[in-house]
Amino acid sequence: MIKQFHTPPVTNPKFDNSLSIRESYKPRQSALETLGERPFQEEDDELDDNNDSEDSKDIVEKNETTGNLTNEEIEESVNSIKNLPPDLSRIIDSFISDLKQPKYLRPLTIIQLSYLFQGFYTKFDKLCFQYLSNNGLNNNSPPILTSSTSFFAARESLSTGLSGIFARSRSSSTASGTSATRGPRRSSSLFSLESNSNGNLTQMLSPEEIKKHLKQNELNNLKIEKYMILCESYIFNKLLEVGISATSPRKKIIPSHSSSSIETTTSLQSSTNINSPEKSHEDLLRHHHENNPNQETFNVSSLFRNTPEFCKFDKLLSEKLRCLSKLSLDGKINLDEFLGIPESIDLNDETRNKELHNSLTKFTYFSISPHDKAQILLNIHDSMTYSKEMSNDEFLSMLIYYIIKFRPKKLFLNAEFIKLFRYKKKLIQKELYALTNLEAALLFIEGLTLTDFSMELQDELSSQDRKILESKISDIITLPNVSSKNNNPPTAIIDSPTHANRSINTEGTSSRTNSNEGFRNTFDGSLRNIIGKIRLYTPPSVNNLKPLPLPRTSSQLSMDYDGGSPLRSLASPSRGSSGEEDETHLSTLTPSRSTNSTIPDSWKVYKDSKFDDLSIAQLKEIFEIYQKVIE
Amino acid sequence: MSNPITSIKLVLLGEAAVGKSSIVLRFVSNDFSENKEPTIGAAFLTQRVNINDHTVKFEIWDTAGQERFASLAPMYYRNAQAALVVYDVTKPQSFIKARHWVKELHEQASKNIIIALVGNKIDILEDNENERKVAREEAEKLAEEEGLLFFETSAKTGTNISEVFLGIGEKIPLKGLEDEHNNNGLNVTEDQRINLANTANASENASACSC
Repeated sequence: MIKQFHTPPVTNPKFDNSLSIRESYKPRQSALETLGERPFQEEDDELDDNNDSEDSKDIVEKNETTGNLTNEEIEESVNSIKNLPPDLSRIIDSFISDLKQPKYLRPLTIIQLSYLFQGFYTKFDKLCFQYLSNNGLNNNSPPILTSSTSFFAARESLSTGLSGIFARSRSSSTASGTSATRGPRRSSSLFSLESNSNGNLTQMLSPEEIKKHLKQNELNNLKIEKYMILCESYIFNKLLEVGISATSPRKKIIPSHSSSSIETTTSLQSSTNINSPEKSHEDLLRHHHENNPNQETFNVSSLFRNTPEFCKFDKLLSEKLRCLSKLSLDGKINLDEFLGIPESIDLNDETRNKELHNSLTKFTYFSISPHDKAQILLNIHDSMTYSKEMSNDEFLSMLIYYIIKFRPKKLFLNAEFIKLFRYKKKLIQKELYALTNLEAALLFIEGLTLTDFSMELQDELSSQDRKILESKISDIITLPNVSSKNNNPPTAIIDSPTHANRSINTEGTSSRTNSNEGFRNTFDGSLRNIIGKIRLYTPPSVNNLKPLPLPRTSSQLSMDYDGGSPLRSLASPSRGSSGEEDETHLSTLTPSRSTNSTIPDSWKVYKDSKFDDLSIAQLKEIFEIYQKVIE
Repeated sequence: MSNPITSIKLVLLGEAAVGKSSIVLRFVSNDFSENKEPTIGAAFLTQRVNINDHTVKFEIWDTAGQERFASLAPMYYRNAQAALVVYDVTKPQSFIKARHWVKELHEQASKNIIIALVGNKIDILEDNENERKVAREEAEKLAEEEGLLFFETSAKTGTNISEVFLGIGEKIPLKGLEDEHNNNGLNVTEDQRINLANTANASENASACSC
């Protein structure tokens, strides 16, 4: 067995070796074999039982459908899972504690956060698979070699959050070589069996064994599905418990221009200032918070607080809903007619209305995980179905009708929440459809303007209503585009230059000092790269002159000496990132491009040079320029 | 080993009350339906069909046909691989609307989307051919110009219903689907776990990340 390799970044002698990636240097089968090791024993009994029950039956295995498994088997081994195995929940714990590390320079936007979560889900999915295969292997054969700790290694790369992303991208190449790849591996376990055979396992498999393995896979898939659901629920319950603030006070910066209803509370826990919680739903509430009886509600808006556009959008939408609701109540709009609800629909069925009202309230207040919310959405659709003939002609208009009638708060944020935080691989088919319907309903409502109504009504409107209905909300607020290229994964601690510029402006620093400062930092940043490189060869004598300690930028990017955009070089993730380093980054983050105009041309000669091309003499010159600059 | 499965997102477009959902209900409740998944009324249904040695799983998305909701349609046909544009052979207005949908799909939907033009309610014509308000030739002409599949159906009697879906299933380029899979954005519409066609893609992605 090959010993662990550590891969500290060459530019960073202080790199913590425990963060390095080990998996990628192992031969393929060994990574698989390490799955044989189970660091924790708690789960053995339960899972062994399951596996035994499967093994004892010999059901003809086709493929991919659950039809081959009896309900009992599913019931026994999947539905009985109520909690995550401790191994797996510990992974989530470390993800959350990592999230709370004060290592991000700016509060993460909701989209960056979503990216982190989706990355985690993917990783977790793989780990679930490893975890289960691990169990399966133990059952079918004596435990194999248990020399290294790929399980832990994986966890460590997760636990570093930012760098975890980086690490993951590297280790995924290994994963594809081993059992960790998703689709292909699971749907045909033959591949992984073959890799097993490299590891001195059975050479040939009888058809029965193949069937057994296929079935095992089938069951494992179901289990993983269940684990993923539990994972979402665990994460968000945990977040509710611990709050979403970072441990550092610096993290609590809330955008000052957030004029809307952004919660100023710093944790989910305390953000309970919903105007009119429905007291009648305490039972629901209790149901959803069995573990946390003190929790009042889950308020998604606190997650969105760093991305004020969403909150503002939600607020305007609520205003519009209130306005429409009032107009409807006053009899000024005939909603049924306006929405083209087919006459066959009875909108006054008390029981159904109550049920829908409850569901909508539950959707926005009393559910936590994205999965739960998505399920409630499905229930809402189901309770609107009372005839098999019904189609979306009815559903969409009814959904809009009920939204206007009941005006559930923060509906928009909840929809976005599902979209961003539900595991994307699972947000498919009917869940995605139900969500699309909700989004369509909201899009319709936000897009309603005066021209959609009759002239008579337009004349009757109060000036306030008129204002609300004047324009589409999407014309007023541009939401950050999730798919946009600008929303890079938050592997970079530093923002894009535009952000930096904007923050400078909003801080209102006088432009003069600002530009000097920026100028200096521009150079600072650039030189830092150079010095960072030099440090490899000789101890940097210049170090003392620098006002700030060296950041541990380890980077390919920093090879470029382009004084114009020092941010680029800073944008490389500091892999061993820990709290104290952020101070360094923070203080270097004020340059702005405009200040380049104050640099004499003679100082710019090396603007387009590559660091590697520079001679020592040239470096010396640059250093001289640097000294002039800071004077 | 059994067949590979291709998931197809199919969106239903057409004026209200032309029988979009009846077509789907008929299709889904046919005898060859083997596995029933929970549905949202008739608004979202799935159906598996064996075509040659492939299994095609249709995920059928209904849209609201009211004119007022026309602007919302893109949310539904985003990433769809197939579309059924339905009109009522007894309602000329519905055919005009169908023309619009075809045009819009060509402009805005996925490039390789397969569109079937479906004239529904031909059972009415059996009693009285005078009820026909949309000439078959006219629809055929449109289908030819725009490269559509064309069927006249009756959801009521079941005439031609399965032909529509089989026709689409046969036209689905199984290879070409992989392009769709590359959109790892918000709308991964098929269950990748069971889709073997995705295998190549998955490893591609993995290696792309290993920087």
